[in-house]
Amino acid sequence: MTAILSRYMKEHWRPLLLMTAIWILLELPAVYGYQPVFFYPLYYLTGALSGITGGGFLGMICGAAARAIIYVFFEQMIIVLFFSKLPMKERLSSCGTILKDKLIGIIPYFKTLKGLISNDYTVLSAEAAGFGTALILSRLLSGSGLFRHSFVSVVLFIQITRELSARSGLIFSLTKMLVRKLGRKEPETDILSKYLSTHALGYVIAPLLPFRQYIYWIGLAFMVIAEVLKVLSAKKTKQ
Amino acid sequence: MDSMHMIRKRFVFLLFLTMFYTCVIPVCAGGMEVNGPEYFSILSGKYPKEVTFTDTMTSDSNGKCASVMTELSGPGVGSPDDHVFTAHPGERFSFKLASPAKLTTPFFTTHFEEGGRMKAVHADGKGIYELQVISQYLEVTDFGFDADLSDTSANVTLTFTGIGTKIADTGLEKKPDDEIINKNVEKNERAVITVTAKARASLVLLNDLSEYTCSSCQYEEKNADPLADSTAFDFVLEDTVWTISVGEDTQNVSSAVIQEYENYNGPSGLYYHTPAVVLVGSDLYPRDSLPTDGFDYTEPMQQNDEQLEKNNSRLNRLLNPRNQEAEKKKPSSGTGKTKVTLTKGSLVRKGPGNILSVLGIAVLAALTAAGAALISSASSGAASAASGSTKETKASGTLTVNDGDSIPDILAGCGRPVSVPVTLEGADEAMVTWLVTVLPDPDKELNKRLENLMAECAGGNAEARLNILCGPVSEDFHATLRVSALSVKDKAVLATKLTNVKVRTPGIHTKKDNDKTKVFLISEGAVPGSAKETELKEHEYEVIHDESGTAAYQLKSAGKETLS
Repeated sequence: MTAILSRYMKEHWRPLLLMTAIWILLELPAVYGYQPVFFYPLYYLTGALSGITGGGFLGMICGAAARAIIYVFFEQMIIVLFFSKLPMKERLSSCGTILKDKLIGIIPYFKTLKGLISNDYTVLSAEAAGFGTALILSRLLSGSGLFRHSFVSVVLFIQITRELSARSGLIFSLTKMLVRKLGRKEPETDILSKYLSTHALGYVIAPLLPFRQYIYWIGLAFMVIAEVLKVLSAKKTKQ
Repeated sequence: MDSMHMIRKRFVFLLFLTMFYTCVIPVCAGGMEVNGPEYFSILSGKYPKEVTFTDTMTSDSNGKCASVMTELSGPGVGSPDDHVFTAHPGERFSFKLASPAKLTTPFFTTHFEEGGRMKAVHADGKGIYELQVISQYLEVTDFGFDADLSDTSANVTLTFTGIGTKIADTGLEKKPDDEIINKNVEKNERAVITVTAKARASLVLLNDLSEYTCSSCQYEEKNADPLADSTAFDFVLEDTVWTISVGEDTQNVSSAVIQEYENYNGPSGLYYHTPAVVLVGSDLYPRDSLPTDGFDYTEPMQQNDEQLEKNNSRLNRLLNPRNQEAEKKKPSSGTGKTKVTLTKGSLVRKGPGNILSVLGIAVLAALTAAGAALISSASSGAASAASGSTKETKASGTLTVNDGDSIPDILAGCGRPVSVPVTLEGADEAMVTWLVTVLPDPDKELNKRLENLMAECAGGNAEARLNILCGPVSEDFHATLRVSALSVKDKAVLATKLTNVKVRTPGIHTKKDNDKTKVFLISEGAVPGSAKETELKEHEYEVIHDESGTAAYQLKSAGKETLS
C-alpha cells in the first residue's frame, strides 16, 4: 500500500501540493484571527477551517478527512485547470464538463425520493440507519458542526447520488463490503440503495438542522430506531 | 460587432461569477451569519450603555444547572445570592466565582493541571510542581467599565486549593531539574496557591459557544445559536503577587517561576482565563453620540497621527492581546440590550496557535487526501462507465496491461490487491482518466461471484496501475476485465483492452489426471495478492474418508483443508 501511495504521490504531487498550499494560506491567517469576509467562500469550498476552529482533537482528525474528501472532489478539476497544457478556454470548458458530470447525477436521485416511503420494516430500518449515520458523520466531518464548514456534506451528497445512479463507486463498494462483513451475508442491492439514498439525504439535512449541538443524539436516535425496526422485521418474518 | 458581443458575453459571465462568489457561496457558507457582532461593534467604537451579567451554564454532579457565582455586591444588587446584575458605565462591582468539587464541569477545576497555563510554582527553594486541585476561587473586586470601555480594570485574587502531589523543598534558588525534584519530593500535603493581581478585562471572540456552556443547560437566548461565534471578556492579570502555602506554612513568593503559562504580553503578564463573560445581545451607543473624542475607528487612516496614537492606546488597553490581529470587519448596528453571561468556560482560542500545528494538520490532510484520491480514482471511472457517460471510441492509442504479460492469478479473500501496470501509448491527449469494468456473464452463479471481484485503475495520466482484489469465494472462476483510457476533456474512449483474470480460492485443490488424483495447495505467491499453485507430494498430505466415502485432504502439519 505504501508503495502504491508513493507511486501515486510521484504522479500527483503537484495538484496535492497546490491544494495543501491553499489550505495553509487560508488556515494560517485564520488561526491568528484574520478571517476576512472575502475568504469565507474559500473557507467553505476548501474546508480549510474544518477542525481548525473548534472540535478538539477528533475535530482536527475528521477535519483532515473532510479536506481529503473535498480534494478528491476537486482533484480532476485542479489538474485540468492548473496543470493541463490546453488553452485556458479549453481548460475552463473541461472543468465545466467535469463539474456538470458530477452534478448531473443528482437529478435521477430526486426522482427516486418517492420510493423511500415503504411499509417494509427491513427497508425502513436500512433507511433510518443511513440517515442516522449521515447525521453523525456530517457533524464529525465538519469539525465543529458549523454550517460554514459543511461543504464536505454537499460533496458527499453529490458523490453518493452519482454512485447511486451508477450502482457502483467507492462509497457504494465500501458500504457493500461493510454490510457484508457486519451481516456476514451479501447485502441486497435494493436495501443498499435505500440505505445510501437516506444517507445522502442526511448529508443535506444535517447542516440545516436547528439543534446542531444535539446532532449526535439525533443520529444515535435514528440508529436505535433502525435497530428496533430490524428486530420488528425479524419477528414479522418468523410469523 | 462580434468583438462587442464577446465583451458583453464576458462581462455577463464575470458578473455572474462575482455574484456567485459574493452572494451565493457566502450564504451557503453561512457567511451571512453575524459572528460576534458586539465584538466588532466595540472594536469600531460602539460601546454598551449597560451590560447585564448572568451566571449560569455549569452543571453539578447531578447534571443540573449550577452557579459558579457565590457572592455579589454592587449598585442595584439586592442580595449577595443574586446571580444577575446590570452594570452601567462608572458603576463598580465585586463578585466571587468558585468551582468547588461538587461541580462536575467547570473549566477551571482542571486548570492547574490541564490548562497548560501554569504547571509549577517555585520560589525561595520550595515549589509545588503538581497540584490536584479541589477548588478554585476567583474573587473580583472593583470591576466595572467606563462609558467608552477605557477602564475595565479590577482587583483579582485567584486561589487554588488542593492536594500537592508533588512538592519539593530543595533549597535551590531556581527551579531544579525533574530528577532533583523527584529525589526531594513530598507528597499529599494540603497546598494553596494564591495570586493577587491587578487585572484588566479584555475582549475576546469565541468561536463556538457550546464549548463554554453546560450541555444540559439550555442557552438562554432563544434565537442565539450556541455554535455561532460570540463575544466575551478575559481577565489579563498584571503585577501578580504569589503566595504558596504548604500545610500550615505560608510563604510569600517574591520571584515565582511559572512554567508554560500562556503569555501574549511579554514576560510580565500572566494570562488567566476566567469564566467567560459572553455578550449575547447589544444595545450600543450610536457612534455619533459617543462620549469620546469622535474618533472613527472604522477609518483610522483618515485621522491625524496624534489622535490615532491616543485612540490606539485606548484600544490597546481594551483589546485582548490575542485578538489584536483580529478581523477588521465593518461594525454591525445593534438594537437590543447588551447581556453578559458568566459561563463556566475558558476563553482559550480554539485552533492551534502556532505555525507548526497548522502545517502538521495541513500535511495530515494532504496525506489523507492522497490516500483518498488514490482509492477513489478508479471508482469514479467505474461510476461514470456504469452510468453510460462515456462517448464513442476515438481509438487513438494502444493500451498495454502488465507490459503485455498475462495477469497473475488472484488469490481470493487474501485482502491484498494484485497490482499491475497499464500504459497508454500513442494517444493524442495527455489528460487521461482510467476506467475498469468487470464484464458481466449470463451465468447467474458466476455473476454472484463476480460481485466479489473489484478492479480499479489508479492514476490520471498515460501510466496507471490496475489493482484487482477479490473477496472470499467458494470456487475458482474466470473473469474478463475491460480496461479503458478515457479523455478527461470529452470522456471519449482513447483505447480499450479486454483482459482475463483467474481467481483462485486458497487451500487444497485436487485434479484428476489419468485416474490419478493430483493434490495442489493454493497459497499467496511472490506477487502480493496473487495465487501460487504448488503440487503436494504424498508425504505432505493425508486423506481422510468419512462415512459417506467422501475424501478430505489435509496438510500433515495443518488442519483439514478441503473436501474433494
